[in-house]
Amino acid sequence: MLISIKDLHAKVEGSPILNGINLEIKPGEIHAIMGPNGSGKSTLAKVIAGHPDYEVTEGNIEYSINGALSDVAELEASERACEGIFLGFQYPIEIPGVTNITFMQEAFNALCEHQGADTMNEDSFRTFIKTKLPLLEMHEDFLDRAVNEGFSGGEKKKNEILQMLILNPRLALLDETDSGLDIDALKTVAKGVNTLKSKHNGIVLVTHYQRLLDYIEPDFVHVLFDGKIIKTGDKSLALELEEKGYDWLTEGLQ
Amino acid sequence: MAINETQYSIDKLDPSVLPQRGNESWKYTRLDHLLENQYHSVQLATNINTLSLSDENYYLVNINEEGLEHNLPSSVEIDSLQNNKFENTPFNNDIATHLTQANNKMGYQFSVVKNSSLDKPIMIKYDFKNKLAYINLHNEFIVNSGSKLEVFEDFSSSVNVFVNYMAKPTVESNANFNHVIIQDTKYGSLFLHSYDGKVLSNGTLDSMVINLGAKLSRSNVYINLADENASCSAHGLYALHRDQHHDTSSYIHHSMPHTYSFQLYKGIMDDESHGVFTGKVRVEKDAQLITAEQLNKNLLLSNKAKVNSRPQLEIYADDVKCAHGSTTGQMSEDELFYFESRGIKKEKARGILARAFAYDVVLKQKNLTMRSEIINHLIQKNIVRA
Repeated sequence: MLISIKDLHAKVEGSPILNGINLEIKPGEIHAIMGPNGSGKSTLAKVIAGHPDYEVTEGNIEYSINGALSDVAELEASERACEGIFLGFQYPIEIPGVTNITFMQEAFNALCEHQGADTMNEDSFRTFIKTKLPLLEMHEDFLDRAVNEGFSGGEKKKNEILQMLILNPRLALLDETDSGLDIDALKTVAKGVNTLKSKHNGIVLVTHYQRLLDYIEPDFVHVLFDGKIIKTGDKSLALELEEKGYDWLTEGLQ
Repeated sequence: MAINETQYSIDKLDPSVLPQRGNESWKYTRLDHLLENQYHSVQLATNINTLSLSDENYYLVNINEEGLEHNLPSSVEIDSLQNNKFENTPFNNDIATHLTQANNKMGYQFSVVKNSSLDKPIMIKYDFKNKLAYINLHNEFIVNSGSKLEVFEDFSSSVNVFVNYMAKPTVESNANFNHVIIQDTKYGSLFLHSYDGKVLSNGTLDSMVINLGAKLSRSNVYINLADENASCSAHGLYALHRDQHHDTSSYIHHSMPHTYSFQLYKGIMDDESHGVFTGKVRVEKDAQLITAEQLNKNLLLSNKAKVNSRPQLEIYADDVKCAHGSTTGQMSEDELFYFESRGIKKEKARGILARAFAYDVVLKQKNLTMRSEIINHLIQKNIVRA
């Protein structure tokens, strides 16, 4: 088991958003989380990543560290990241004054230090990162621009995937990575995600649209509503949702 | 204005002459520190000696209690000065000026001959070693027409001192002066700095003042754009921690039409430090078609740090382009979480973001040797990491 979430309740600024989530992910699995706006999808991803604004009020998250499931409640976001949890942001943050390569090198070296491995200097890191750029159809210029500053929507999302490939996480939480992408950028991003997929990693795709799942095939599709998973199925559930919407599932629940 | 000089004598300073709260230009800064410490006035020696040492990156000038030594080329003339005064600046009536008048003073004039340019910048290093010395120093820089000069002035001290430094650059027509002053004296020091710049037609003055070390520092920066097509940049950075206090008072004077000024002042305040910025731009009635930009940005790293920022425009002409702004804030939580979500610890992320904030000013320095000198100071102060 990679991660086991039990009866998870969480709130932000006093408002409850998650109301009892149960979810288990094994290595090698891809899970899609769908649901109407405001159902708690992004919150779930942020709570797993350890965003400080979200308070877990009940339940717990256990994550596999050194082969055993451990409660992550006491781990800071940076520690969770070093243990291999990656959050791809719905709205990647712009950081003026910090270049993309510096940002990624700091992240990569933080991971190396955590694992007791040698860190990389800028030259060798640049050589390493350049090998990842063609896959995402990114130009080397991206490395020397300020993080996400002046990037188009598609460039920002590709930049998230680039970071994911550099950090090679065991659990990737991709929060609406497909939103705002044209079809070519969507295919490129999907190619990046499929490159990460292996029998060792779990991937969680938070998405509104079935479209992404044409390119990244999920093993499970969960429907989140009002902070709970109300239905789980295979990829055919996503097609069904595309056709029928959510009303048939949520009627009588509100 | 005539003053009673004995009241301003540093050895028996009269407390009543210190700026009071009612004094607008010193509203946020107290000089009581002056009374708490027994500073003694030191007369700098007037020797001008040749320095045999050379440096690949700079011409060198060392100034300390024993005088001056240098390895400048013949295109730069040096004279000692004893009676330089502010002529007609808005800071005439300032405590710094009065202290200058009333105590032992010493200084040098650096003059670059016409139509010459040096192949490398001049590094002026001040290193004062007398504990609790009051150093009353004024230097003039005359950049004659058609010349280019780059000067990096580095104030450091291994003991607590009180430095009152007046720099008076005159940039003649078609001349160019790139001037950095960095104040990195020992914590516990007091540093008053006045700047009386004058730029003539087609001249450019690029001034950058970095305040780091002293417990209490004040920069009075006055630049007069005194003829058409004169331009200046006046940038500054103050990075404070513990209980440090810094106050910049800037005054850019557009006396003539077609003059241009650009100012970026940034402050980083940690712990219980306090930054003050007052930036005045005055545009005279006939000074049409000028451009004046002023921006002050402050970053507070702790809940106890504070800043007072006062942009002031006085515009008497009617066809001008003036922009000014001031922002003060804490580090963005969203930015910090972005770093953390990538495995970078919060403290490290804060360091990287503070560096990025400071670099905005540092990158305005176009001379890469001088830029890396500034960065080295910031690294030593732990404001940025290597």
